Amino acid sequence: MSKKLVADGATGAVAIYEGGFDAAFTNPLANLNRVYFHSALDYVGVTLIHSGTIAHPARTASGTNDKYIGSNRHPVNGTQEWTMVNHNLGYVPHGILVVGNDMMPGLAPVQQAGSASARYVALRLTTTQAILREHWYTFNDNLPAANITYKIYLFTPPILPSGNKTLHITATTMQASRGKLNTDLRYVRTKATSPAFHLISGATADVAAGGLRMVMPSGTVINDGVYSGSFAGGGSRGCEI
Amino acid sequence: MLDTNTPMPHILQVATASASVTFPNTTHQVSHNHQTYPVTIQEEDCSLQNVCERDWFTGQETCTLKWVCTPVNRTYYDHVCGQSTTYNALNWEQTNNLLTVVNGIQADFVQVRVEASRSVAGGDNNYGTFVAVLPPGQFLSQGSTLLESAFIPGGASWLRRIMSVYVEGGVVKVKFKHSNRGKSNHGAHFINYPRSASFLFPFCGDAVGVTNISSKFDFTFYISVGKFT
Repeated sequence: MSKKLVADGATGAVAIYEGGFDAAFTNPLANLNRVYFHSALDYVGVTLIHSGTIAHPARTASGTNDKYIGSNRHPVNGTQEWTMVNHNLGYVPHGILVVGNDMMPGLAPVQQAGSASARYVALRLTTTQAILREHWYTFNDNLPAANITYKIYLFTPPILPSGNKTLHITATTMQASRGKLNTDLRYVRTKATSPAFHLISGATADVAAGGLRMVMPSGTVINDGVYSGSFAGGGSRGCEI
Repeated sequence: MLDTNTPMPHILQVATASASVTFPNTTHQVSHNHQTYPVTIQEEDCSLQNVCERDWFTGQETCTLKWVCTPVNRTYYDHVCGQSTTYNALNWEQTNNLLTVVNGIQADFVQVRVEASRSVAGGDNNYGTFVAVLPPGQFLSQGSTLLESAFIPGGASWLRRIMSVYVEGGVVKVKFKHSNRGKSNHGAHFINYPRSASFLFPFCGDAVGVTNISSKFDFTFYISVGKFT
């Protein structure tokens, strides 16, 4: 099928769409299946990528036996935070936290020992900082110290047009729709194999019989040994910049 | 830079939405047991008696009232009442619609930050109030987020509560799920009735109330929903 490139100097709109379907230019949201690119769409860009290694300290099991079952330790838990990056973006961005090949959902385990001792992490975001928060539990087993590398992607908000260039192409850059599309920004696109991260549409965990199973977008499964269901993961798509 | 053969994600809609959930209590049974332990204690029986004593030098006898105590063994009974609570298994879920996608478009992905607070904290008779792992302020909450966990002695999972934000049929939804298995708290909550003179044990009522496992959370979701085109 033919692809048609149109740039409207009056409105600043630029689009590449399926030839013969001009409605895709005037009403892209109603004709997304005919659109290859349209400046009216708010493409996801990455404004900051940061990688850092956290030295999680050892967490020891309680020295006190369980009040009721003396052969087991009394559970203990705690939290600790590390500032991963001072992004100073001035807004609270959306983002993704990645460990290895896994996009971490909210409050995911990064270390387990025995049947229940575990370390969970979440990424807190403010207008100026990205903060890693650890919450740990120990029962009968100590959690040994662990160095874990985290990669953070922070996304741009929808970009507002400015300037007067409808379409501007050089050897190294392309700007369209008054700067709303600018290839100097790091846009996200799909990548099926070995993606940098995933954008997801579905659940990443399920509970049954008092237990928990997590299935990461990469396919990694984390089971607590009690879960008895059949959760196989939710929808996701691999991406790169 | 741009490849029309490679779909790119774009944001269809940005919105803020709220939801609350009250995870339910579960049914339970309370059972009582008792044991009786006989205890023998040496005591003294004392009484006022007219005690006469003779002076060895003068030979004169003098009688006065004095307390005279005699050792005696007596048997008492220590009664111990025990209370055991059995929580029944429960699976429960609630789904809320957060956002209808513009034009009814079947979105492909959702980005979520959430602020969460717990206004009612459930617990159990073993370890008390459930630990909630929620961070303060806004945090990333793509996919599913673990809200609360509770464990049996030794650490095997007993109760889990999660929240999942997902896209289905052009609507961004949140599903709250709860699951706990049945368990009994063994040997908890004793009452002592020491040194009872009666062999008959007292009424073993509830030592403590059964802790309610219900928790309530409130959430604010910061959502960007999008599609690959």
